[in-house]
Amino acid sequence: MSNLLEIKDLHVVYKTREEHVFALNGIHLELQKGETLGIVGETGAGKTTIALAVMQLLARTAVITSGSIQYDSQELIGASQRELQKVRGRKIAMIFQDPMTSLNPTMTVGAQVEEMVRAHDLENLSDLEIDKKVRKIFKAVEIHHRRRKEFPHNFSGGMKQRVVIAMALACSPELIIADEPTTALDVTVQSQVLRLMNDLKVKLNTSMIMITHDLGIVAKSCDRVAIMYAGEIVETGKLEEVFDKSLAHHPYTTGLFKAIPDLYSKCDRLVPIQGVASDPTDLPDGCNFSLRCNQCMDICREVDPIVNSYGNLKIKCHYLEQEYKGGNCDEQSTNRNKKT
Amino acid sequence: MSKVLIETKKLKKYFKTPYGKLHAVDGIDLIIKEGTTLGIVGESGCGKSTLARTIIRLYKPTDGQIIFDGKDISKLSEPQLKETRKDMQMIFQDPYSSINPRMSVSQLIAEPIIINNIVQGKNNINQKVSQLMETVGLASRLKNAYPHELDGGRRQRIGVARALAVNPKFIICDEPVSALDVSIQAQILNLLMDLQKQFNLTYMFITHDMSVVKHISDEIMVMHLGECVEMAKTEKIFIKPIHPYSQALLSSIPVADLKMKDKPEIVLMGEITSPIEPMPGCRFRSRCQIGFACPGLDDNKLFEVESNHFVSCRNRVFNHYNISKKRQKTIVIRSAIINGAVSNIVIEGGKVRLIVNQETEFSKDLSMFEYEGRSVKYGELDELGRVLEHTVKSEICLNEEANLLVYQQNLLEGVFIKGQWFNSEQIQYKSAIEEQKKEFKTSQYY
Repeated sequence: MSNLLEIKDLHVVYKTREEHVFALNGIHLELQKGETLGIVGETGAGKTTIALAVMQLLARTAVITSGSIQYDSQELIGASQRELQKVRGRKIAMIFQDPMTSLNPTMTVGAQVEEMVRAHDLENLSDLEIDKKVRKIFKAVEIHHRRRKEFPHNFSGGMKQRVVIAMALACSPELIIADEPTTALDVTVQSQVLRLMNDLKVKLNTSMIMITHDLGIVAKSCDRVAIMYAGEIVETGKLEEVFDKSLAHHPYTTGLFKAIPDLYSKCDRLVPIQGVASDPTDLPDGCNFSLRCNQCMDICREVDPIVNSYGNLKIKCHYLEQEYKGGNCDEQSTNRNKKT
Repeated sequence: MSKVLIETKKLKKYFKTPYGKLHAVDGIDLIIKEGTTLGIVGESGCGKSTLARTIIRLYKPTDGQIIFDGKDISKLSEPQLKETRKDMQMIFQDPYSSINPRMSVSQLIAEPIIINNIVQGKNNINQKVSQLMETVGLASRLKNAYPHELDGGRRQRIGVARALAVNPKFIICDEPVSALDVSIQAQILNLLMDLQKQFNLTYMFITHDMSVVKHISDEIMVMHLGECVEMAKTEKIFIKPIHPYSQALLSSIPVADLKMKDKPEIVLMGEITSPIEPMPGCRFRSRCQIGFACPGLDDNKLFEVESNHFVSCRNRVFNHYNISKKRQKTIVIRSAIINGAVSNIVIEGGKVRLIVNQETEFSKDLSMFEYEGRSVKYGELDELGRVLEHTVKSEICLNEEANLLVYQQNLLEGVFIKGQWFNSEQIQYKSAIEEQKKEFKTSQYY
């Protein structure tokens, strides 16, 4: 299967007068058709920056210093607004984190979905056809079409997120980027929304990038997982393998799993990851995780590790390299000049 | 057994809105023992934070009592409260907005010490601040740092230090870790648990994250629209939740374990009932699987199904005791105290069933039933030996003093006092009992 989305060696720096924030430091990602990729990481790891870079919606202060983003063999970096307009919404749609702020409070939800349909209407549909289409979309996200005339403030959080999903689906995109779609919702509502998204994904055969900090959501809805730390992907692999505790993992992945209180077994004490998240304005030499790593060696503080394959997992770590020498070296991420 | 530190009785807090009264907290009874943690879970808008703020008296309760350390604080005035407030503190959700960005770390921690006059003199205050910073794990070099220089975890440590500054007995943690990343969240949870051991603190821990609440709590109360729907020991509620809402809540937690991927999930349909002037009865009905066919629509009182396991769903209580659907329609359940233990009484048609909890020593009561020559028999005992049956066409009311009053056609038939049956003729103080009878009719539930 060919890759729908391919990100290669993507570097993004937020440049302000006072400081340079190294948000993404060499991201490699591939996404196949119909696949769901989960991106997990802490606040400030650069998850949302990836999403915005793909949509080419980065803030003005952000500079893509190197790398490429190819969607269906079309290069998105440097594409004209007109070309991007054809991709956004129609091919790639985004669901934002906070449904309370991503809807226009002065328009009825029906009008907002309709606007989306009209904006991307290529076939010059008649009003009646557009109405039909809107009704269909509302049905797909399980909102009664009578509620089209209501304003966002009449809706609960979960229902608002449904409207946002409806808008993302309006043009049946091939790829949906969901940036923490359920973080603002309650667990019971979250499970409703996740179920709805999964159903629609299967029905429409869309690919999805699910950005989240909750490993539980990833376990529920993703096929592949990428773990991010300080602007880098430290581990990628199939869901089953990343969650398999018997395999070797990046110390950060292991730490994340240990830090979550377990629902099904009794533990007296959690094992937190020591220290605080690395400062993206002042990343350490060598491995970005070296300051918090419990397996840190001398080499980690000096040389940036390369991505190696361990089975089907791709992990970026010196410790594993020493521990399992059989790993096949993957040349793609060597020789990077990080702080340019 | 450790002593009860905080207790609320029928605590209510209503807010006025243009559309009517919003029942934010509606008749909550809870007990927190010293040195333990009560976890409160529920979705946003169910009244968790209002409950916390009412207990700490940031809101004036509409009705009900708050008993803190043996003292009713629900009607105290502001100046009287000042003393009590030293003993109860709160850690807030958002460490970004709950501390003053213009104050340095040491100023922030010194503020409550100075206001409450905990120690006098600059040196003493400084010493106390350093001591507190060490307790919560803040490096002393951060003394003059400002909040914006610190990350969320460290800011929340300031919040913890500020709460600890006045040596409180009781701390309300209102979602203290939900704004933090998992790796930092674990640090704060560990800190809170260490502090509890060190200072014998009592916590009320509010969160919507079930895995966090399981980790930290001894007891859990599940709230739904201002009411407690289930309360039990943590292990019990996680192994066997009884109320349909708790079941849905527990089943919908995403678990970071692939073995649990295919666990059955209850997805709630429908929307939440409005908390403004809600209809009487069960407030969960619009989302419940049983729906309007539920026999318990008009009844949302708490029943004790097992010792210290309270559930408000009548249907589930019936199922727990294997009562058939047909019979459920004619049944009334009441919780009451019999011989000092809380029990459920089921009144069904003409028959009265006592459902006594396992822990209750009920053999004496039983013999009394028969001994008095009334048509009281050992009923069919259920497999646990808990259900008794006798045939009295009567209604039963209870209080602590006279254990059990039996009425027939509104006339008092007799009283159980300390396990002994007295016919109405035998009772000398009839009028007093009549008065009690009126009172009991209104207070059916203890």
